[in-house]
Amino acid sequence: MTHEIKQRLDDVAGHALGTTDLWPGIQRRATHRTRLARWMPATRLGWAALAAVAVVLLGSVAYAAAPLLTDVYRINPTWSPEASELSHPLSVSQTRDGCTVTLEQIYVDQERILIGLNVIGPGEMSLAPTGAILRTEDGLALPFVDGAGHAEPGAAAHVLAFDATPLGELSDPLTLEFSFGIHAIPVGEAAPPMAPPEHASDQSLAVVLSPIETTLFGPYRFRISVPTAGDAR
Amino acid sequence: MKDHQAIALLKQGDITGLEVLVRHYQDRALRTAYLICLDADMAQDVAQDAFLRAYRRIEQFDIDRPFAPWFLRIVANQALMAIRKRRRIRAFLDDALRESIPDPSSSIERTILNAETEGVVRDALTRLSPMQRTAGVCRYYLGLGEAEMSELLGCPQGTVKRRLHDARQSLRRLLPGWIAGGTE
Repeated sequence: MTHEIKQRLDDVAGHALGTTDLWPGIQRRATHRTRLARWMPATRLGWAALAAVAVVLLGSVAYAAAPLLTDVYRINPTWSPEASELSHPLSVSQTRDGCTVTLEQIYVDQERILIGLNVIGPGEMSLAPTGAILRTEDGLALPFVDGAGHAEPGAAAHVLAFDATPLGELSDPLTLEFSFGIHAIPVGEAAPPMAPPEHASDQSLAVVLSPIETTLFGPYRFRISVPTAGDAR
Repeated sequence: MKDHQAIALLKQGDITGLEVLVRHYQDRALRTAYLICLDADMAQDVAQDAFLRAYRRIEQFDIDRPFAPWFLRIVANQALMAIRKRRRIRAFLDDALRESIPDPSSSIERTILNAETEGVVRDALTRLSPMQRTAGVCRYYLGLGEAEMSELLGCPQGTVKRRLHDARQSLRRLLPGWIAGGTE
């Protein structure tokens, strides 16, 4: 009887699957793994050392960037402290030309969506998001309301707020597409310098803006899925 | 090439040994994964992952033992993990259905054998929880004993027995029209 059951189950699976050759996919992944393995530690001690280095590096980055984001939430009094505490963690990163953006968290309620992000880029540059667009997966663009940030040379934290009222009833999970660029301005030139104009008179004071070399990183495009029935609301 | 020759090659780092094992076992791996996941795409991912996991752990494998049981346990374990990962765990039968079943005397064996179509068997498997389904597949498709299932599922043998019992009960309730009585 057991043999017959096995045959019956085999028929069910066989008809659902058809003929499939797994080898090409496995070969590709195994070969990639082999190449990768050359750079991997060969001993447990090696793995432990690698893990220790990773913890130190990640800790350094977190120490450099994480406190900034917390500060940013305090900048705008309409963003209640609960917004940062009730946010849904994201921790997704993208790097473009040496500038890494990490979406740290998102807060969603019926009226607004707050997205907190960290940026790590070239030193001596002030980094700020630009051209941010937040859409639903159906293509509905949510209006940008306001934003605030805290920048240090080579690192920044920003919170961007969008109007969630066009969404009406929130789906669960809510899937959003978020795109933007990062505008990098040399720190010393972030504020346009005022120079005493040669032709200034008592009646007028001209402001001479020197050309500022800026860099645009990106575009960064994220697809975010956030639960709205639980703690994110 | 025989399994042990392929494994010996693999232990020496020669990937042609893996190809031989894939050719030998891919159908069984896919079918085992499918019966647990009930999703063809997921079954392919699971089977691929299982081969790669076996490849990475081949140093731990005792070449004097048969490859199939060791490998298919990896497949079943990967399938169960894949289901958990994708949060597709389904609830057990609801109470109303539970109460509507009068006859506790049938068996999972007869239920499957008496089902008229493969679709009916598949639908019934769909209604089982992943743990029940894995227990059923390990027992009736892979032919594992309770001790091996206990090791695979990471639970005591008593729990394995209960899950098999639950699977039998559930199938009996789901397919009352095909119940013909019998022993478990």
